[in-house]
This record gives sequence, structure tokens and C-alpha cells, in this order.
Amino acid sequence: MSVFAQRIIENAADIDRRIADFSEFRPRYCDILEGYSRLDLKPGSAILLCAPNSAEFLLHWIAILAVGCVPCAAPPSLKAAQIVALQASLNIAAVAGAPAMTRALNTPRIATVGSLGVAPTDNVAPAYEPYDVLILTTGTSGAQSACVHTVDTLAWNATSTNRTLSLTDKDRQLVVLPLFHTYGLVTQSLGTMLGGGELIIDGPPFNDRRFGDLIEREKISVCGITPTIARTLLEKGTRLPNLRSLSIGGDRFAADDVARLLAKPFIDELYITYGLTEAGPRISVLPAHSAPADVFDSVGRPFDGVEVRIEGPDPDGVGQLLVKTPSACRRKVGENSSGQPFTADGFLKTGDMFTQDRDGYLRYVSRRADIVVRKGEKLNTRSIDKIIEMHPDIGFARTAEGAESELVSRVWARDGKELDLDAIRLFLKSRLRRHEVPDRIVQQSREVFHK
Amino acid sequence: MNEIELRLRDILIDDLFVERDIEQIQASDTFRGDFGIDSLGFVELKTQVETAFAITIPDDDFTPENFATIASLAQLVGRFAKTA
Repeated sequence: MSVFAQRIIENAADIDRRIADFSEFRPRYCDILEGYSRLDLKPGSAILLCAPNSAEFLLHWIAILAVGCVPCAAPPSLKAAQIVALQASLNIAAVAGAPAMTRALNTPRIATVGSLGVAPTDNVAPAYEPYDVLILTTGTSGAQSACVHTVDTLAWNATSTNRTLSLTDKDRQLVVLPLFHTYGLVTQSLGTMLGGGELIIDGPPFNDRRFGDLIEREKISVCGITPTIARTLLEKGTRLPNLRSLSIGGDRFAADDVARLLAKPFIDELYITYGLTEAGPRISVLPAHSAPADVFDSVGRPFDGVEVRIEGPDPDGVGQLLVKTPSACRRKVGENSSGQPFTADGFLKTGDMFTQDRDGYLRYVSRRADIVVRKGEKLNTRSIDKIIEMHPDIGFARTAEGAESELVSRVWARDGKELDLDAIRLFLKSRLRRHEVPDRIVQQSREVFHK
Repeated sequence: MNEIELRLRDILIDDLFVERDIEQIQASDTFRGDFGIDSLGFVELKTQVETAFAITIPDDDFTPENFATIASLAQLVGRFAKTA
């Protein structure tokens, strides 16, 4: 067992005491561990964990590791069809989630572990190693792909972030972001488990007034939010209690907004971070409170130990950001993972276009064309296209961001006939998460396709 | 279930596409734990409830406590329906 895995697993009882939430039911870690032990799954078996944000979520995640299985955190809102697709694509040996959800999977047996049902699938051979961790990538509905990390790679990233953000065992961190995302799971939760501080898990729904109340009441010193939440706080003029450290990551955050947040008297330290799931996730950080204003449009400089390179820069210095980091995933898996995202010399291809100035500051220019951010959530338009193309009447689909951030899907009929777009919308609503359902579906003629 | 709770149950099935047997849904079921509603789902639930009952739920009432169960949300809706 690796040192990091040992620290997390052996200190689970202590971690249990250092994680709080607002749930009425709180199972004991030892009972959850026993529940997974009784399943008798082979080491290296992957378990899909579809649970809401809670302390119990983390206890399940640790217990799955402790019995030699591989946790794969997923949104609790996944539809049954999406779960079945993930099971096949990622060799999932069991699904843990709301009891009613696991019953809908029609597996031969369901165990109760804590407040969750756990439904093992027979005859799924272990596809991973003990202490591996699966992290779903953007576009989880259709892509069914994941990064294979290890506890060590994720722990390296979490402790590097702790060091960069000066987190100590005196800090109390508030988690309002989903635990199935790397920021909430790795940066905040693993970071706190390894750093010795305390973790308070809340929501959803997010409410800015409650956010402020919690910071005050729970004596929160550290928190991480998305740019969407940060912009909401700015727009509403929300006044928060004093917060030692606020981190923002997950999408682009404008320099003007950095300056506006810094001007607030209640934030001591403001960190703008950049990362991606494949990298484990954080790569760079801008400590905006101690940086000159002319770099507020950057995502800072790479962490110590992380090498970066701009691939094939154009005359303006813009090229794909390549990263070599000890926290890179081992490989990508899943039906739609087309090749591994590494160069021959071991750099990770981020797919994001960047520049880097002489002082090392990285500036984001654009994202891969098939990734868009909607309502604060990243989504993969190619994944949506694949789901649309599962409809029997549709031969081809192309989804893109339209005017005013609308998500527009253009669809071509398989046989040229007129499509029932309302029926197609219903088809999509039952297969996609809510933010992935297009705002508009437009039928295109074959002639348009050929233009 | 009372009338408001039954309407909320229908919203879950018809508008949020929650995959549950409608007859098995209880007023005490939790949106997060039992139905897997996530952050975006709560925003949609709030919008659907406001439309269905012709009310406006202020941001300060958009809390995990009020949106915990069908019963707790029905109480909130009842409060605003009376004052509407």
C-alpha cells in the first residue's frame, strides 16, 4: 500500500471526526467498511459511487479504497441508461447509490451500506489495481470515459495545492462544490484529509446568504468556488464574513472580476487556479492578493514540480498547453477515449490553448471546440451529439454554443423526413443531465450538411 | 400526501424526469438522497415549482432545509400560496 493510501485509510476513524455536514443520518465508518467487505468483490473492482454531497460520501469513498476496490464518483442525478452505459464502458463491478436507484438496475442482489444501496454486477472481472481511483471526464453522459489515477497521484496534487495555498491543520474548509468533481473531491476533501484540517460539506442548493452564514457560524477559513458562483456573489454585492483563503477555478475568470473581488474587505487571500481532470487536477495558481495587477488575466505559474510547454506556438505565442506533472493520470479508459492524451516524451495534452510570458505566467486563450461551459458546468458537445444520434430517426447531429450562450443542436434526419422535435427533446431529457439538454433543436436539410 | 405534495410528485416525474415508480414516492423522500437532485436540478425544480404554483420563492428561502423533502417544500409552497 502506498504511503498516502495508508494515511487516508488508517486515519479514517479520525477523518470521520474531522468531516461534518448537515445530514440527519450519519453512519459510522466501521459499518460502511464492513458493508463493502461483505460484498466480497475482487481487488481492483470498480465501484460507481452516485451519492449526494455529504460526509457519508467520503466515508464510502475511503471504505471502497480500503477493501482494495476502485472508487468512481459520479453525479447522483445520473439516469439508469447512463449508469448502464458506464458499467459497460468502464467495467464497473458495483453501483452504490440511492436505494431506489439501485433497485431500478435489476441486479440479482442489493446490499445496504450506510444509507445507500450497493448493487454488484455479476461476472465483471477487475479491470484496475487496488488504490487506483477513477475520475469521470467532462461529458459524462455520452463519453463514458474516465481517467485512471492512483491515490498517490491525487494525493501529490492535493498536498501541492495545500502547500501553495498555505493550508494548515488549523484550517476549516467549506465544500459547496460537488464531490464528484475533482475540485471538491481532490483539492478540497483529499487536501483536508491529508493536511489535518477540518471539512464542512454543504448543499446543494447554493444560496449566497447561507454561504455567508455558514462561513461565520462554522468559523470557515478556506473555501473554493467556481467563477459562476464568484460572479453571482459580485453581482449581488454579497458581503461575506472574513475568509482567510478563497480559491476560484474550473473556468475562465476575468481580470476585472479578480480586481473587484480583491477589493472586498473580507477576503485576505485570493487564488485563481487552473487544472484538468487528467492532471490530477491542479496545474497552476495565481495568488492574486500578492500579484501585480497586470497578471490578473493569467492563471498564474505552474506548481513546483510541474513542467509546462506551449506546443507549436503561432506568431502570437498561442499553442496547446502541454504539462508534465507527477499527478498525471496513468491512462484514460472508456469506449470513447480515443487514444491516450500524452506526447511521446510524457507531456499531457491539455487541449487548451495558452500563452506563457517571460515570467512564466500562463494565459488561457481558448478551449477545445467541443467543450463548452453552461450554467457553470463543463460539457462535451460531442458526447451530446452521440446521445442525439442514438435516436432512431436521426442520422447525424452537431451541437454548439449559439448566441447568448444558448446550446443549439442541429440534427439531420436519417431518411430526410420531418422530425418530431418535441419527441426528440423528451428522448434527450430522459438520457442527458439537465444542463446538457439543448435549448434549441433545429432540423437541417441534407443540403446544409454538405455546405 | 396533500394536494401540493401530489403536484410536487408530478413535477419530479414529468418535468425533472426522476426515474422512480410514482406510487412509491413518499412525502418524506429527500430530493438529494432519494431522487439524486443536484445543484442544477434544484434550480430547475425551483423554476418548475414557481411556474406550477404561480409563486416566487425568494433566494433566501432557496435553502437545503426548505428543499429537503417533498413535505418541506410543500410547506414552503403553502406559505407562499397563502400570501400570493
